[in-house]
Amino acid sequence: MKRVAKERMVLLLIGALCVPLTSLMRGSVARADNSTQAATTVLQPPAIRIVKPTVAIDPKDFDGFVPAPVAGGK
Amino acid sequence: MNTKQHITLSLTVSLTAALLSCGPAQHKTSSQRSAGIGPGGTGDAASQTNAGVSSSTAAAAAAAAAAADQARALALTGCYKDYPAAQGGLRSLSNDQIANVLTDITGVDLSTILAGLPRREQGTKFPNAALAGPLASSFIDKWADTAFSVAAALAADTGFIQRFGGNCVDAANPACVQRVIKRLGTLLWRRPVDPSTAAQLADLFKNPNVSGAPAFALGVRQMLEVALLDAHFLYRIEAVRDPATVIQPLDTFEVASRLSFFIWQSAPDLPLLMKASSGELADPAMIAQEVDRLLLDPRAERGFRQFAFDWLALGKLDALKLPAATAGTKPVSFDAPALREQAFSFLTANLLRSSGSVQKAFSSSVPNQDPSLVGLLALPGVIGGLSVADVTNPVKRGLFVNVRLLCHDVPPPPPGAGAFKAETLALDVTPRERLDKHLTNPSCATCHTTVDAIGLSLESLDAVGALRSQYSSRKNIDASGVLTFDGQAQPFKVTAEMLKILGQSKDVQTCLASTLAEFAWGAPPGTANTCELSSLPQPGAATNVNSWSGMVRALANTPTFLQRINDGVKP
Repeated sequence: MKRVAKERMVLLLIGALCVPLTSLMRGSVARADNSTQAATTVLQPPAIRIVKPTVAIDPKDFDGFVPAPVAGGK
Repeated sequence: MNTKQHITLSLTVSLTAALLSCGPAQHKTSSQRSAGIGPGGTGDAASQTNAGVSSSTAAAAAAAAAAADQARALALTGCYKDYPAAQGGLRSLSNDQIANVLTDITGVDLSTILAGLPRREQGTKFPNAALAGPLASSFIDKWADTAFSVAAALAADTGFIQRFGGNCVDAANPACVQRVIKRLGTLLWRRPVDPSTAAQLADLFKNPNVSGAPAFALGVRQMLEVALLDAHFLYRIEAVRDPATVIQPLDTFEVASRLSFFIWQSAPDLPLLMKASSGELADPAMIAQEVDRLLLDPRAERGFRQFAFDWLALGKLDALKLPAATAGTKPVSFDAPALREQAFSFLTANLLRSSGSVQKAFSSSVPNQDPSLVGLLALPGVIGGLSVADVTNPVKRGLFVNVRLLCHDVPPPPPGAGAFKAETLALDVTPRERLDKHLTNPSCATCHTTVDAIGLSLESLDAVGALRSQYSSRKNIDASGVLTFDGQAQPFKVTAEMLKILGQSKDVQTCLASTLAEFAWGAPPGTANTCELSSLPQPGAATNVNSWSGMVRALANTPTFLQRINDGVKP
C-alpha cells in the first residue's frame, strides 16, 4: 500500500467522521492568542469534570510484568 | 492476512473508531457514554485545588501552602466565567517524545534508528505548540520506514521478548498472544486495547511457515508494525464526548497522558495507567498525588531538560563558532556540550529539585563563575548562545531577556533593518556607541530603547560569559543604565548589579509561570488565560508554594489543562 495513500486515508477519515480538522487546529494553536470568541461562552457548570473510562485495563494482563528500567536525564 | 493488510486494516478500523472518537455519528462514543461514563469530578474547584498540597511538609509550611491554594482555588472558580481556549483534540508526538516513549516502554536503545526521523519545523518556543493537527505525509512516510525498523529490532531483542512475553512465548497459545498484545498495546497506545482490536492483532501471530519462538517473535514484530503506525501511538487523541457542548471533559486516560507528557515528555507508566483505568484519576486529589510522584521520578529530569532547552534556546550554543587563537590573542576555551550540561545542572538544582522559590534560578551564584554574577544569565551555556563568533551581540541578548525572561512582546524588525555582523562589531567602536544610532531613529527607538539597554547592561560578560572590564580595543566597558523592573526604574552601574536587580524582580518569576503554562498547555497563554495565570503561585508566596513543584501542581489543576474545547460548536 502506498504510504501517501495511508496518510490521505487518515485525513479523509478525520475529516469525514470528526469535528472538522481545521477547527481542531484552530482550537489548539490559533485560538491561543486573542481569538477566544467561542471560548468565552459558558455552557456548562463551573466545575472540572473528568470522565471515567468504560474500558478498563485488566491487571491480570500485567501479572509478573517487569517494566523497563527507568532512564533519567536526556 | 499479512502485515501490510493488517496495517491497512488498523489504519482504517482503529482510526475510524478511535481517532478522536468524535462527532455525533460516533456510535461507539455514544454507547460509551450511555454505558457508564459519568461525571468524574467529585468536587468544586476549591476542593480540587486544595488537594494539590503535599502533606509531607512541616505544619506551618503546609498551612501556608493550604492558604495559598485556597486563594488559588477561589481565583480559579472565577476563571470559569471567562473560560480560556483549552488545548486538545489532536496533537502529534514530537520526535523526542517518540524516542522517550519507546525507550521507557521497551528499555531498548533505539536511538540509532530513530535518529533518521526528519526534524519538524517548530516555529514556536515549545515544540508541543506546533504539533496540533495532522502530521505531514512526508513525515508519515518516513515514520513508516522507521517503525518497521524499530519493530524488527525489538523482535530480535531477546530481552525485550522476555520482558513482554515472560515464560509464555508460544504463538500457538492464544493466552500468550493475548497477553503480549494487551501489554504492548496498552503501553504504546496509553489506553486499554479493546477486544475486537486485540482479536485482529492476534491474527498477526498466525504464521504457518514458522513455529516456536521465531513464530512468536515474528508475531510481535508484525503487531508492533501495526501498533507503531496506529494513530493512538503517533497522536495524543482527546475525544469529543458531547458534540453539543463547547467545553469537553477529558477522560482519565487522556488526563494521564496530559500529565506524563507535561512532566516526563513521555507516555504514562503502568501505575498511572492503572489509576486512569480504575477511575481514580478523576479525583483531583489523586491527580495531585500523581503529579508529586511523577516529579520525583528520574524521568521528570528529562522532561525538565526539554523545557529548559526550549525555554532558554540552549541549542543555539552549537552554532557558536569561535575563531582559532592567533598570535598575541588569548585562546578561548569553549565546550558547548559541557557548558550546556552545566546550565542543566544549575537549573535542575535551582528549579526542578529545589524546594525553594523559583527565584533561586535568577538569584543564585553560578559555579565556576565570578561570585558577583548571579542567576541563569551568568551561565556561559545560556549567554554563549547569544553571541556572534567571539564578540557579544547586545541586541540578541536584550531581545532574549525581554522575550524569554520578561515575556515582553517585541515586534519583528521592520523590513530593511540591519543586523549585526561580526566584522562590523570588530571595528574600534563600542557597541554602546553603535547602538546609540537606534535611539536617534524613532522607528528603531520604539523597541530598541529597552532591548539595547538590557543588552548593554550585560556587556561585562564576554562572548562566552567570562567577566571582563575592557574591550579588545582597550576601551573600558560601560554597562551602566536604568531599567524598569516591577514597575520601578532601577539604576545600576555594572553588570553584576543589574543581574542582582533582575534576580530580585517579580517580573521574571511571573514570566516563568506564564512560560511554564505555555509548555503545559501546548500554546502560549492569551488574554483569556489572564485569570488562570493569576491563580498560579505568585512571587512572594511561601517558597514551597512558589516552587517549581508548586507551579506544576497548580498548572495541572487549571481548567485549560484538564479540559478541551470542541470547536465544532459555535455559540
